[in-house]
Amino acid sequence: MEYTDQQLLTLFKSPETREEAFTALVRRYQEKLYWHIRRMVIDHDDAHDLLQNVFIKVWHHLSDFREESQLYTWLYRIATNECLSFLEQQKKKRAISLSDVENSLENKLKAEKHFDASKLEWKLQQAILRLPEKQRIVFHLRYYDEMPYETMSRILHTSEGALKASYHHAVKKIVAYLKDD
Amino acid sequence: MLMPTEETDAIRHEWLQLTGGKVQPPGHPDFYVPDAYFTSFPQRLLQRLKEEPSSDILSLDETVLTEIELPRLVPFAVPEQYFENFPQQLMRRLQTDAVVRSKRKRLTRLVSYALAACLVGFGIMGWWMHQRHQSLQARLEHIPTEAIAQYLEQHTDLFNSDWIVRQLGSEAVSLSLPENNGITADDIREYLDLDSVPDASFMQ
Repeated sequence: MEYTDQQLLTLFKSPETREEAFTALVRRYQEKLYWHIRRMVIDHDDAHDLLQNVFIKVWHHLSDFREESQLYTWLYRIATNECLSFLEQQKKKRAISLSDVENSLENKLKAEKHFDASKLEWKLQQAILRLPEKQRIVFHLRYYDEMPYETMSRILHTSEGALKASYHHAVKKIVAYLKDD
Repeated sequence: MLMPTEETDAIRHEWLQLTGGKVQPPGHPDFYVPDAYFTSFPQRLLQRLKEEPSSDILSLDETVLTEIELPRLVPFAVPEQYFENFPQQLMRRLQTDAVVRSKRKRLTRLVSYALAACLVGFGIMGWWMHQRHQSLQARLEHIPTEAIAQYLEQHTDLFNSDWIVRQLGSEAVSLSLPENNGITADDIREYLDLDSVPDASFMQ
């Protein structure tokens, strides 16, 4: 049986159906969140750890979730924060500059199983990695998740105008990179 | 060319006042403007916006990306059956976390109970010491000083070895017995009964 988000939230509140509701919620959102995280951190193992952390936070705080906002907006918000914290930690851990982290992400990208620098999809990933972190998130949410600006605005707590401008700049940079390449 | 208005006359008047009427106000330079430039400007601007949609930030993005046909495919590899197995993995981790959390919680609770018990113990001990001190003082207050002195005189053993050792360390100690105590040297000899000690003859 396919539950609505609202039904899942109700089921989660009852101890008898808590695990069932949670498993259904994980099954529903795991792929979307995984790809959102994976595109940011590139490496599968990092993405896996972060995805687990996201759902563990969800498990502990879903009871406090205020139902006036959408569940998936809330999930994306947690995942985005996890990604940004992770990238920040990596930066501090290695005590290196932002560009070095990006280089390291680029190295991870090049270490991917099917990496082929001549193919456009990989060139696009390289171009995206050159964007600032927040611009990258905006680009991913818009381009890959096809998310409306209004929803993005709720996830990132940024005005729609700023998001449109950010996406515009991201596209410009990506196109310029691909044309130069 | 700007059309003269009432404000123009006022400004001219003000200029002449400020310069004492010596310098005439400069006229506007006669720059060239094409005929009907301002009347046709709005139409030309709209035409340009239509021809160059990229100048509009809000509508450009999708167009540009469609033109260069970017792929929407993310080329990363994911282990086989990853999404099928993920919920079980997650539930296992949640159970492990719950056990760890519960142990940590129990330990924290034990430590806090121990700390609380120590605090209560210290409190009770402090209270008891205080009470004891108070009660001793209260009892001594009712006893006359002479009675205390007499008690100490009767109950202090002059040959208490601890007392002697303590007094020997003090320079102020008198090696002679107190005067007028009615004890003669013979009394002491008799008390010690030196003759009854077989090897005590060397003391004589």
